[in-house]
Amino acid sequence: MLTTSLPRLRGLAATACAALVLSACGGVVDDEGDDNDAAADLPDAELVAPVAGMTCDEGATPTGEPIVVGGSLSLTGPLAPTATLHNAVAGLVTDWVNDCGGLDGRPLEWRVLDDQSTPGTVTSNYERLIGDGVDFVMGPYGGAATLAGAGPVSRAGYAYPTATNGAPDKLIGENHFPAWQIGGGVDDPARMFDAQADAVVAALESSGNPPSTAFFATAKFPTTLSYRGAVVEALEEAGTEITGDLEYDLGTTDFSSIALRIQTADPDLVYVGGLGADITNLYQAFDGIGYEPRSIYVALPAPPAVADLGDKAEGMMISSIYEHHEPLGGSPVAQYFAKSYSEVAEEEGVFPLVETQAAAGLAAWQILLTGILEAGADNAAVIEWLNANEVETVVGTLNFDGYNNYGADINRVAQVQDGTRVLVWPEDVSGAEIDYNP
Amino acid sequence: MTPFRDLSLWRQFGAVVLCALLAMALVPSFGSDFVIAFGFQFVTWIGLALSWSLFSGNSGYASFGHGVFFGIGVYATAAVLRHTDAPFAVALVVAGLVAAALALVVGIAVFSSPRFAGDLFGMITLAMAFIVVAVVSNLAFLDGGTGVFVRELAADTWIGESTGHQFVVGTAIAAATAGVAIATSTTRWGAALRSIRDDEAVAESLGVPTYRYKVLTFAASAGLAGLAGAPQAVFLGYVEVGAVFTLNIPLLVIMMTILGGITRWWGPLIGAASVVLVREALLDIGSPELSQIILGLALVVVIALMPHGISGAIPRRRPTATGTTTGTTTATTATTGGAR
Repeated sequence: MLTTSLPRLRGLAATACAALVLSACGGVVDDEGDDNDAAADLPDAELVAPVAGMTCDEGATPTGEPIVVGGSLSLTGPLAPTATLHNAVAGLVTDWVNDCGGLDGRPLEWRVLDDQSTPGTVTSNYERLIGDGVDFVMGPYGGAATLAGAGPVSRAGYAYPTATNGAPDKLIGENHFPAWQIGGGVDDPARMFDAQADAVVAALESSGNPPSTAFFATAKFPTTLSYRGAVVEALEEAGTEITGDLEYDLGTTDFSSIALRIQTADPDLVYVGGLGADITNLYQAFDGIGYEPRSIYVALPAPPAVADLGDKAEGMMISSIYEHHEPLGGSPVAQYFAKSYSEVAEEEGVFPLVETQAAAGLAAWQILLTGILEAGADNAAVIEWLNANEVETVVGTLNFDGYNNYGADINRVAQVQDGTRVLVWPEDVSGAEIDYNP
Repeated sequence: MTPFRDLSLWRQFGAVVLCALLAMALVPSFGSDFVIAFGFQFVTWIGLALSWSLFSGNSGYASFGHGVFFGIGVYATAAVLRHTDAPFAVALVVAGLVAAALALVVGIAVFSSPRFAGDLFGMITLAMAFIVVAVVSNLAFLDGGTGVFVRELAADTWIGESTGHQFVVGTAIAAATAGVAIATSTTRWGAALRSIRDDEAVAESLGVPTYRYKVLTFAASAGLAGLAGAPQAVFLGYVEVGAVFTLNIPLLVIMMTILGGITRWWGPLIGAASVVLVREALLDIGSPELSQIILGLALVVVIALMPHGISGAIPRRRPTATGTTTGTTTATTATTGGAR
């Protein structure tokens, strides 16, 4: 009878090693093509202070002990494509502050540890950073990582700004300062995705042609499932009939059976609770059966996935908190960030245009830097100040009232119009009216 | 001499217990928060590598399902804490039992047919991982796809109070696993497993009840991995399917075990310790991609240069006619000797 002999076991180990090496090589998605051209078209922008209340003394060299901000990010592994973007933002902000003469004259330093997309490593990384005496920390990318890091960070009394925490109902504490305020304006922990759902329904209703029928296809992932649940409820309440509601495993690439079901239902609205490149794969399946959806909404797609769809993405609606246009994109800070980010992103091989993730990354840094400027380089003071005040960020004015410090409702809806992503809801930040007539 | 009259066996048990007690006393008392958190991960990986080697290393049946048993332990703990008022000790027992029960069922079915030997066994354990992930993702009782916030559930319990308590539990589990590994190194149980690895057909013809040994050891190995998952649930604070059932876990465990060597019971321990320490040390070089490539390539080189792993490259002490000991390498013990 055959069992696995020693040489074969060693072969297994060598394969495992090779997998490790390959996972390191596959961390970053290289974005070449039209988006780089669009980024190159961005106008030059003048160096300005990244946060309100800070003066930018260009050419002044910061002196003294650096203010060290530590963070754990998934620089390798499955979360790397997006986490790398946050690392690029962190490096950019650090250089930006130092180019402006530092924080109160002191240099800013960014120290990042790779957690290899493993929440357990996030915990020990923050323990290590805190043990090494970093002055402040920046949250990691993703809900599970954010909650894994919250334990050591909170116990040590550090402020915990986060760019994207997809588990807003899980309580972190008064030291939590989220930039992407998913649960903004909602007090009930069980209903933290209501604000996002309301934004979707309001955007559709603003067209004057809300959908009569909707079909849901959602990835099995905590954030997308919670989001889907709230949107189903909100749409049903608004009178939309749900003609299909299915879930698919994370990492699904063959969407042909899902596409067939959607084609059969032929709904006014296809809601894709998808992540990453799900939307690309779904459209491939649509192409295979010759179907064109009447309208489509995607929860959390990777920006390159939408861009790579080209004309097919026209009219697609997307969850968003920022797109680079007036009024949010018109500020000098936003202009400088967009230009600098496009250059840094090109070097790092990440999507070069500022959208939700990059904007949330900058906003998290703006929260921390504003707190330090206003309260000094002391975590307790920064936590107290941020809890009592508002912060001007690239995504709007944020406060940290309410459950889990999700203060302001900044949930928005973007749409691809003439090949460009533009906010279409709510009106105060929109760059165009929604174009929706399924 | 019967194994349990073997003084060296008791010395090894004693050394493991002593080391574990010292670690449990010193690390939480004097270690920094980082040392305690890192120590917890350290002992968890050691427990996983030793428990994988208990079955796969000894019998030669390479399992890719070890991460599943570990994940089941994580989710069983989360479910007990979420749906009952039972203390953590109950969750710990449930975690081990559920993982062992699954392995028992799989083992009874798979080992009943010789068709599932060799590589096919590995494929079956991989398929088992997909099935378990699908079940956990769909059962709201366990997860349902939305994740479980364990920190909140364990906040008022002894285990949730501090990482030091999680370290104590993790160390106890790793020590218990080491104890089982020591037992297999000298008892008939271990010899039977190694005879399966060398030639299962011959072992059977010599009267070794291979089916029984395989089924029970597979269950024991899974049960120990399940136990290791219990404190991990509290340590993580929030568990979700994608993070818990990642394929990285069984891959790393296999790598650690082969690196450390399977010809001595402590080989996987050395392998796990080496990988965890090197990974942590490489964090400082500032290039995550490069550090992972260095780690992977270094392991390939070590495995190529030391075919029997680190432990296999260390000379054994053997008695001579005059009663003294001499050093000798273990190249020949792979197929004949015990995992000592």
